[in-house]
Amino acid sequence: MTHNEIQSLVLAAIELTNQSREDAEQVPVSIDTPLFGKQGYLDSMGLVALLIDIEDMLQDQDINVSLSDERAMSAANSPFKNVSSLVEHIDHLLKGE
Amino acid sequence: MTVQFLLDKMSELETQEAVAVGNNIITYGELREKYHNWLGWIAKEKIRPGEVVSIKSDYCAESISLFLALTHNRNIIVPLSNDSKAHFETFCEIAQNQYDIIVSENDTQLIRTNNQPSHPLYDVLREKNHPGLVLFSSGSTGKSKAIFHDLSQLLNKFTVPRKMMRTLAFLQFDHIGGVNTLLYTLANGGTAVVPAHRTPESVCLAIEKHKVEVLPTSPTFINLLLLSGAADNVDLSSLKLITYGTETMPDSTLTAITTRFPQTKLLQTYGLSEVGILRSKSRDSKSLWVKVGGAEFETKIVDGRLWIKSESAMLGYLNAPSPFDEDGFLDTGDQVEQDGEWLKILGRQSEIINVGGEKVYPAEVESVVLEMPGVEDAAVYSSPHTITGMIVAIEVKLSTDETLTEFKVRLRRHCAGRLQAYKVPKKISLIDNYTHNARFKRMRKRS
Repeated sequence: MTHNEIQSLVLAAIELTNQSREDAEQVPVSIDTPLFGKQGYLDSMGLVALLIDIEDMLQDQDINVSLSDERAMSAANSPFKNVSSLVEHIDHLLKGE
Repeated sequence: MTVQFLLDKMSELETQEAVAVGNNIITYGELREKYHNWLGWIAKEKIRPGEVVSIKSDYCAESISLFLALTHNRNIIVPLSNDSKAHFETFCEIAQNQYDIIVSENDTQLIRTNNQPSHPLYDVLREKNHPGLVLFSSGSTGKSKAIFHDLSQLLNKFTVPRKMMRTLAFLQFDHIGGVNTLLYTLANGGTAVVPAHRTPESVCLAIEKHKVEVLPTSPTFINLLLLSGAADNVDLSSLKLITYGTETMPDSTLTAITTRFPQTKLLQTYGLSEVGILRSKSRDSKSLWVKVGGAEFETKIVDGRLWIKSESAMLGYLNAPSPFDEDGFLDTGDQVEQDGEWLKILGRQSEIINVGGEKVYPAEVESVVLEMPGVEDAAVYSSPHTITGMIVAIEVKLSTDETLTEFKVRLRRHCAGRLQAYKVPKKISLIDNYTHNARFKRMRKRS
């Protein structure tokens, strides 16, 4: 998958999340959106749901990957900080880096 | 205590219906006759007291009378119904049966094995000259355990006369609930009605045809009964009581069944293969609060978990260490909420899902998901996750043709406001088959 394809997929997952969120809790569909942590739109439950949605979407394309492995959890810069860091993280994982 | 009190009943009620299997009705007189035939057969085949005998059969007049004859002969009986067909070999290996009797409607096959059972628990009963009963746990929480009962102790509690009822034999005699239904019925001159199949349609037909008054079943079967619409075209007005046990009842299923059958009383039963079935009383038909006990039972609650002591408890497991504490209490593994003498069964301790320190009971989540239109079945289990330790995962059987994505959105919208966020299933899979086992107990996946 290209970087752009991953980005569209993550944004699509956020749109999916928004479908079951209250109007006041909508997550902006943008690469700059802070996700988890300072000013993040998601709490831990919201983050887990988003990650699983992305994993399910990847699985539809026969890609089996866990987005919250030990490395992600212990990284100095959290990959879940915002949309662009999450896209980077997935890109690295898929390239096997 | 042996079967004499049952024989007295058979003589007293000779022309009364004892067992109805399909169109075949057997009176108490016929049952007694078959019993005596079996006694002769046992003597001829030289099956001696204390020997271990398996019976492979489902409920029928022959298997029931054979069961009673072997009890009289003080054998250790291993009933094996077709529910556990896949495990026959393992179960026989564990029980070390010396005889295998395969009973079908018109034919009996006797196989002698080379087993020489020498279990110390068997010796305890042989010394007392008491009959024994080996039952197997369903193995839903791991390996099947062989539960060994003193059968005369089990029979003892049926000597107190109770109400005469026409009862559906939902479970077979290799399940404590099935044994309980059979012995209760025979001890009180009732009729045990065996449905041709354990499907909602077949059970409903049997209720209508034989005017069944009591349906002992499981929440999962009740759910299927409602979904199938099998009750819509038959007359079930004879049904006075539906009892449910073996698993936690989802609120949604209880509400649905009481609405569908407003004239029928609902009673929650509580029992374990290890200690037998306790007497119970539901606060009312719509309530999940239940009082359990009875003369031969003592209960205590430790750390929110229910412990039971029973005079008719098993002697022990044949293939596992004794689970009793020094006072003879058994840890049921069930987490309960308490309100005075009333209890609410929350679920198995082993099935609690710990999501970032918060406890989730599968039954509570299943209940909410089962409320959704198009959801036929749902089973919650725990799945490990690096962020919260565990997450709530769910398998769902749909009658709609929604995609996973479409269903996810609908499920989340439905659960919001009904469940706290940590209880809402995160991992969702759509499945094609029902989640229950042959005995209509929901089998949750183990992660």
